[in-house]
Amino acid sequence: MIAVFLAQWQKEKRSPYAILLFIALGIMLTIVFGMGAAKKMSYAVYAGDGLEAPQAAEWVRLLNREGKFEFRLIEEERALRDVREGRAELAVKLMAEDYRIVMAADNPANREVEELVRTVYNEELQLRAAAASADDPQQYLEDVERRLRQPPLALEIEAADGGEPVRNDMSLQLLFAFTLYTVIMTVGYKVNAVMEERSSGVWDRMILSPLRKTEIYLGHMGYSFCIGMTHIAVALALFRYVFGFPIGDRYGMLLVVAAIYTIALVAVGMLLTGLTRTPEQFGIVLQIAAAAMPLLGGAYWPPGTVTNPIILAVSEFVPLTHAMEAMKGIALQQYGPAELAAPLAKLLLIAVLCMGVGINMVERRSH
Amino acid sequence: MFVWKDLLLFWRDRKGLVLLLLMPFLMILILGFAMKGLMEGSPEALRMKAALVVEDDEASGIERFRTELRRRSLPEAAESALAASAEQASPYTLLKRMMENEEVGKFVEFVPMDAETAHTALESGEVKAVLTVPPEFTYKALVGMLLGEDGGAALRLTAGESPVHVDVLQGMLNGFVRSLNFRTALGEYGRPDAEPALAAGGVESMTDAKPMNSFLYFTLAMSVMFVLFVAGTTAAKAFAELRGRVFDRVLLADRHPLRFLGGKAGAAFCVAWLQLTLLFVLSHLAFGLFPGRPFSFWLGLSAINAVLSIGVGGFAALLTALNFRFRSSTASSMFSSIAVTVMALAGGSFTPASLLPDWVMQIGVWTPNGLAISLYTLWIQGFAAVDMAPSLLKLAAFAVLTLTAGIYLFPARRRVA
Repeated sequence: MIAVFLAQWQKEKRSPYAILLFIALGIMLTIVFGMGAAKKMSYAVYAGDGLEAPQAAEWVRLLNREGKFEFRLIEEERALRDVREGRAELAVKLMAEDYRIVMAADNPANREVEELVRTVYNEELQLRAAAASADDPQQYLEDVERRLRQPPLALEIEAADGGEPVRNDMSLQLLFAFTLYTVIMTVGYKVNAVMEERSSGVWDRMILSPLRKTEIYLGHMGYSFCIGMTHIAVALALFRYVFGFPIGDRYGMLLVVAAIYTIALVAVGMLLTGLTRTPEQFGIVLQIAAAAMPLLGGAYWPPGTVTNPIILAVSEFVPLTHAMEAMKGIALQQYGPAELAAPLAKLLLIAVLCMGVGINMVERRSH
Repeated sequence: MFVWKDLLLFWRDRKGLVLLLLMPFLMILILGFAMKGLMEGSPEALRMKAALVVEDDEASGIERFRTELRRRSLPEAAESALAASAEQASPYTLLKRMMENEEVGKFVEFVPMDAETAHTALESGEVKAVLTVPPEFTYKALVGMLLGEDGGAALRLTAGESPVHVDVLQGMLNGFVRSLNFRTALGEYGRPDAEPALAAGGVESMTDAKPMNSFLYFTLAMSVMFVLFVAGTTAAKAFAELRGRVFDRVLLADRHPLRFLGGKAGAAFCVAWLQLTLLFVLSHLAFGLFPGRPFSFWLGLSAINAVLSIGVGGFAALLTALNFRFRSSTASSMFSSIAVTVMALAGGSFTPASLLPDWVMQIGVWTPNGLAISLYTLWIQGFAAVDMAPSLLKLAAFAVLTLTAGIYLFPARRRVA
């Protein structure tokens, strides 16, 4: 077993660039998009109907003061072109005392922006009207300002247990999603060595050697596991200690989840080895299947987005779903062993099933 | 003809071919259904029940406020004006009016419950959130609103497990709270006043096209993403031929090596075009994407497919060249895993491009799949060819660039290993 493991390591040492590039690019992708997701949504606004630049800038200031979205003042032509070509959902046309939301097709998803722009415009117009009819506009504006600072009504939000509500951190979710996704590739790439050795004839020579079958498999799987774990461990360590993402203080717990997830991935890799015939085929199937996994598990969207029972059922079979749940639980919700038991047990179940079926199929094919 | 050989190679690996052709269709089906409600913003998808727990008694709150007014011995007129406003502006009445609003009713059904039942219902997921009106709410709020004194009152929203739903509800309640606070600040609740003129606002659509439904969106998004896999697949198959010494035999037969490369690009083009066409036709049949469109519409669609497929052919040539040059299939693996993910994300295949950060969108403008999505979008909305020209040219330039790079990098002479 050790010999097989070391043989893989020797091959790696001889040309380490491929796997290093794989891991490095995977982590880079994760960091770039994880950081990008933290940004606010941004919308284009443009001055229409001869609105003067200072007035337009004032409206943009008021809109941005809300802090919910970012509004950028750009030229009319570019704003409209972006909408037309589907690169922007909408653009806001500013007028002196009115506005229009311009969109390619009437899309209800833009309701939130409309709502915000309407609120800002209406409040400002009301304020202006009220100030104009007041005896002393300056004094009146100051009064309003003062009263706004002590609002009579508030909305408190709490979680079911009375504590702070758990905020889903989308940037953190994407960080985990991409890490878990790219490590599928890394592990798959390594498990593919089994297929490569079979097609190059090394496998047959190993069978003739005194090595037992179990040892050959364990050596390969152990090696893939180690590379996969290294990928996740380095990625998580970088996120936490170098880039300062708030992934919590329980780095060890995350590693436990990562280990079980990696075992499941190795097992899925074995299943694919059983299902395909050449290393190239394996690669193609792996890439397509892996691309579908985060989509099925809903990893790219806020939780609760997917409500369809069939898809939720399908996502139960995707290891990424459970690893994601466990990691987010640890980082955001203080999950303890009790809460982690369910997702980890499901991961192990997937691992056992895939491994069993996969190795069986590989063995059947060789006879 | 090398193209024919390469097409036969695809045909021999039918399992892979089916995966390449049908996996995206499966994804369109699944994601289309999953995101249907959300993308169309239909209330049904977000419809929820929320528990309403009232621990305050409105009438006694108003009464207590009146008593407080009398205690302060204000001028007669002022006192009666405030007492009258208390009746009209009682925040709980305003809240109820908001909840009974037709628009709000489409999304949320408020079910009155006591605190205990509400908690159980929240745990079981029967209600998505609990709105609590705490004791003394009316009185405290009125003191804040009408007498301008510190303190005030707070509504309490207990959030359940589904952020999407809670966000909708929270948005509505925040809107209510904000409007009430703002009107208080304007001093409207003290004096009856005429409504000021408001912005007319409104929405202008650039076309009379319907919003993209989720099936149409995912048909575009998944097609342009999965078509990229054709390039990686072709290059991987080419590498298998290098391994199996097919390429050596091609050279021994005195054929120019670039003809081999040409075969790869040609086959990738054919498979990509076939895949795109098949996906559009299948999705149209299954979900009725383009009802009553004339033949010329399909012709145009097919032309965009062809241009995108040329780009895929170019990619296939480039990746084949890289695989041969480095004598390993790492280049095509890397492309199919990392590069496709980056392009899919930046080009808007996972979420609509407009939801992405600005700089990602700027990258997306230059990816073949992103360009293709915007071309399809323009064509479906019925824009003229002039509007499509820039993207079309970029996509064509892309194809030429990758093809040239592929030809340049392809090892023309086989080195002896």
